[in-house]
Amino acid sequence: METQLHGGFGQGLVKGLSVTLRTMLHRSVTVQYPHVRPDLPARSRGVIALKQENCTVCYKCSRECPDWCIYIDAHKETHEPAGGGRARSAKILDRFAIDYALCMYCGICVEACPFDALFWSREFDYAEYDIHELTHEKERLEEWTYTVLPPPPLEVGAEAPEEASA
Amino acid sequence: MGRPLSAEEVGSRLRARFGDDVEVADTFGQVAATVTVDRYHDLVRFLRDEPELACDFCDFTGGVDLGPDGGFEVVTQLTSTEHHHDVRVKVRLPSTEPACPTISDLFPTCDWHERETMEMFGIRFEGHPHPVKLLLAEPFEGFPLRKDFPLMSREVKPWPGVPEGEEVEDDE
Amino acid sequence: MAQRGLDVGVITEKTPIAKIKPVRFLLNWGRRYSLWVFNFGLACCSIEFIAASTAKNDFIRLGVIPFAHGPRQADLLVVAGTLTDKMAPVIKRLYDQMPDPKYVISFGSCSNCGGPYWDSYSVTKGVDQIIPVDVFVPGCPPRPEALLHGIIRLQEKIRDEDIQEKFRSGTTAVS
Repeated sequence: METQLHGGFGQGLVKGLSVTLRTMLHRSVTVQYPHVRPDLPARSRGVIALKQENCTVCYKCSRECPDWCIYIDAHKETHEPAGGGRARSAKILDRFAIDYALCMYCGICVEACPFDALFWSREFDYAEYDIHELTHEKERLEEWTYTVLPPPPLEVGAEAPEEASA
Repeated sequence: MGRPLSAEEVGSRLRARFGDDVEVADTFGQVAATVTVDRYHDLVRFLRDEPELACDFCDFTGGVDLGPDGGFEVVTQLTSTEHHHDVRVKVRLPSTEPACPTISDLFPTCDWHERETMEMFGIRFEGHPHPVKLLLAEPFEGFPLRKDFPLMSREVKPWPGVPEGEEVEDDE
Repeated sequence: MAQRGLDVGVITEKTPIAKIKPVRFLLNWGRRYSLWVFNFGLACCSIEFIAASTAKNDFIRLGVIPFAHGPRQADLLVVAGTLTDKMAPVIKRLYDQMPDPKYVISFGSCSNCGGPYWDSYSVTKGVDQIIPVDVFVPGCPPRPEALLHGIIRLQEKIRDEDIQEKFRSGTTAVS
């Protein structure tokens, strides 16, 4: 450490305090959560939302989940069509629950779903007091679909998706 | 300055010294020497002390469970920091009462590697100075990395991927 | 059931003054805005915990003072990461060394219930099997803002707390 030989008495003190003053007057980078929510990208893995009308109860997400944390209950119902003919059967979803205590947010269920019923949402603040309350049912999962953002635009030079050209 | 030896050169030197007790194979550019249990210690000492081989750095010592018919295998990777070549040493052990001499007197790093292999596979390393569990908690029973060790959580928890009333398809 | 920590301070379950509403409000207010956190960072979640202590998301502005010098000077334990069976007696001992009243936040999937390692042979499936937990923050890893949200929920819990009840029951979590 060099000592100040010129400049007079107290020069080091003035220099140090000037650094402090500059830092004090500088705008801080703190994001004031909870008053200001962070601006997260659309692809953030915050929570998984379920759109029930797209779900055909194929059980693919539940099978592919490595943590076994998706619980599905369903039953079949048959409807006679009004104009006569063969009775149609449909699967009705009774229960779709994701245990967010176990979930590791890998996204395999979102990718495996062939009917686009599961979406990533960027909500992250759903901490609970009791671990059993972290298993969320389909009603809560449906609420989160309203927070799902549209996918980000494709990069320049990317191929257009098939649906767009059809 | 060192000269890396090719697989054939390493193989010829090992076969000259150990004869039929060692089989040398070239696996994707890597030398793999499979040796019998009683020559294992001598082979590792030869690899370390011979000036043209000079394998002075032990990368790891691990175990492989080859199933009920294959027995166990202890794999050690030795590297020469001088010549920049590596040699993989494999020892085949029987499925029941697998035992193997320790090389922790030649390479002190193998002390911890052999402790982990001991607790995970149940292979006994004779002459090991401190054969206690390294990673597992003390009252643990069983050898986790053996093929027949069941993961209890997967046994106890029912798989949620099966619709009610349907049978589980057995793929295995 | 966790052991009672050391009684520090004047207020215990036998102090009647703590029942008076303004006193109770004042004690809870002081306690919830001056938590000294003892970070028990075990794995990847500890990185997010450290990120929550840096300038961008600062948990010191919520009153959580970072990094007590040891369990004996802390009142909040944040378990961030995977708890293995070998580490379990250690966390129990550290929790017992913390003086009452103490709070525990379980941060991340691994400490909530084993997380991605739920089927492992050496992982404790959830830190609440060893010590009582007040707030569970889900995520793998949770965002630093999720930890701030978890701390705010803990502060709401402390606001509605009865300190005498807490000392009498001997545990800190409502189970």
